[in-house]
Amino acid sequence: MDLLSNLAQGFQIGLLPINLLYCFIGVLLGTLIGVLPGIGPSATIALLLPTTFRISPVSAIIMLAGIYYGAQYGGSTTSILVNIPGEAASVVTCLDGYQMARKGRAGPALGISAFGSFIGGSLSVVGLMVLAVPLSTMALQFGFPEYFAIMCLGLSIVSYLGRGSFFKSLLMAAVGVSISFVGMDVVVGKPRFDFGLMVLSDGVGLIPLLMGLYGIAEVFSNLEPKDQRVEVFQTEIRGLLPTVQDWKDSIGAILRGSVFGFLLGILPGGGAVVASFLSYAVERKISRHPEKLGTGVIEGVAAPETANNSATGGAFIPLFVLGIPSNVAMAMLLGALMIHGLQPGPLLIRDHPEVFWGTVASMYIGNIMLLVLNLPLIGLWVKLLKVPYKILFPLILLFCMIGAFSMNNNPADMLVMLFFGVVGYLLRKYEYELAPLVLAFILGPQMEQAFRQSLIMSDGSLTVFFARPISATAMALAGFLLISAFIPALKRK
Amino acid sequence: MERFDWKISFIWMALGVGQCIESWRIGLGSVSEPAMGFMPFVLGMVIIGLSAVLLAESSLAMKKTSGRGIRLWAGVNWKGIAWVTVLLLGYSLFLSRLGFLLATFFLMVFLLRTSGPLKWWVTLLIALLTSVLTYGVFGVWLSVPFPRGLLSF
Repeated sequence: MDLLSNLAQGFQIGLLPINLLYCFIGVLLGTLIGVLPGIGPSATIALLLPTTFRISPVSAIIMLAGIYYGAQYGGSTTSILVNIPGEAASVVTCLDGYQMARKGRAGPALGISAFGSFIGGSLSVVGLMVLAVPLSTMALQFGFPEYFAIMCLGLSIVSYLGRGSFFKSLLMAAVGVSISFVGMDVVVGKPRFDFGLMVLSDGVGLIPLLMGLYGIAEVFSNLEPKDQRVEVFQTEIRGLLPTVQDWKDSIGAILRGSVFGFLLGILPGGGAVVASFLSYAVERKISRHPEKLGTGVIEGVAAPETANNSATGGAFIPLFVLGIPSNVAMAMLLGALMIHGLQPGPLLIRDHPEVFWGTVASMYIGNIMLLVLNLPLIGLWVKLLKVPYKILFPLILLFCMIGAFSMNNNPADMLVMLFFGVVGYLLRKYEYELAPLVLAFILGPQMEQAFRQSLIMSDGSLTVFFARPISATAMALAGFLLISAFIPALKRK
Repeated sequence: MERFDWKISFIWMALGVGQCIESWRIGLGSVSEPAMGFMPFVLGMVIIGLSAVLLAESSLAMKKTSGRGIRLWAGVNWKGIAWVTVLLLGYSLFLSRLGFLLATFFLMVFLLRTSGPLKWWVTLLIALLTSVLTYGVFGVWLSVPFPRGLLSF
């Protein structure tokens, strides 16, 4: 009963006209940037974070969350029609989606993608709603050693699941934590690593760092000459509603994708990308005709598109329950909560139920909005693919500059952002992952506090991290990942 | 083809050493009572260790392919990045003097001219609309106190 009354309270908040408006803006922008290749949800959340400073925390989170899950809907459009994924999580949709479009079945591909996304997204919200409260009650028992161990494990998994070298990713995590040391010390409140610069005396701002690494650096990367012309597949998009046979072929994939997506979304570094690839791999494994996957079969579209949306709901669990983000977009939501004076973690649901339940209810509403936006308006989204980047990139840069300035109304923050823009570009160029850096930067102060407090309470004994089952398991898993990354490197020698 | 970024490993190592030295200077405390330099020192050591691993990896890769690989700075669009950086730097420095509307208008004109061939009237129209609309949204609606500068509003 508690669950239903809380949900009813959430809907009261989510259905307020102002929150409906922010939810709509969020999912609309999410779909938009999902459709447009070259700008992702992380960059967009970074760009829009400053616009939320002056609105209520619930509205802010509703809008930013809408961008995140909305982008997963939009990403499939370009995969199916252009064979270019709008988002990394839609890469695998290209395999069957584009082939379906070539066979004149772009409509059912887009349709099942939207319905699968809706079902996966909605089921994952149910999972979030059911699991978050009991898990947060359990998390209240955690002490500093557990938090430190879980954060170490989270960063190790994010580094391990990264696309490139594990050691480069781990180095990025170490650099991210190190950047968080700039400014006031979290325990004694004295300045450190600020080099006497006023702009660094309060530490490196989250907004300049995010906008630099994701906004400016992304534009710099896109300034590189690329031999890639976007050509929308010339076909009439008809029959968006899948047939009974289409449903029969894809319902299993949709349900499996929902479960895999949700569970992988919870894992740090898992998220939508891994979920989409894994669910596609599972479909190939269990299919009675695996050779047909990749030639334009509908379950090849349904599975990854459902999974990547389902992962978005799962990703909220570690954020709301532990205050530990599982991916960069969640890290930005964590930043948004902190900017509004809220501390994500087990106490958030108890002390600020309106934020949690309002967000949950808005996700149900947002998924319905997305279904409406994605089916009838598909023609509009296709037209948007033709907006030239030469007009988009000056606008992105301007939003970055305004965002950095509006944090403290200080032009010096724009210089900090510019610095991270150049650094972020060079890091991308040399195949360093930015996600571990951002996650580590955001978790840095909590990690340091947990580490120091653990050592103080154990009188300097490092065994404190192995004394209780949860911290011991997390540390052992992190150690296992480290060793398993070293073994192939040693074998290569 | 693998990119041999061993020079970057040296930069990381130098940063790690610098972090350790500065952490030492501000005070490490002890394991039972860690001071504010303690964890930065540990992280500095981690950075040094990881950069050594990366250095070893890239050196081995260099040996295997007899030093052939992509040069460190090959393929970077220095000209484009430098120009955009200068424009954004100029914007940061002149925003207070020129004010938001003028500075944004000029920034957009320069950026749009950089981005490719656009008719002058289209460039000026987009620049004008962008500066006015962003001022309306951020300055008026969201009450961001932009510098007024020359136009005094």
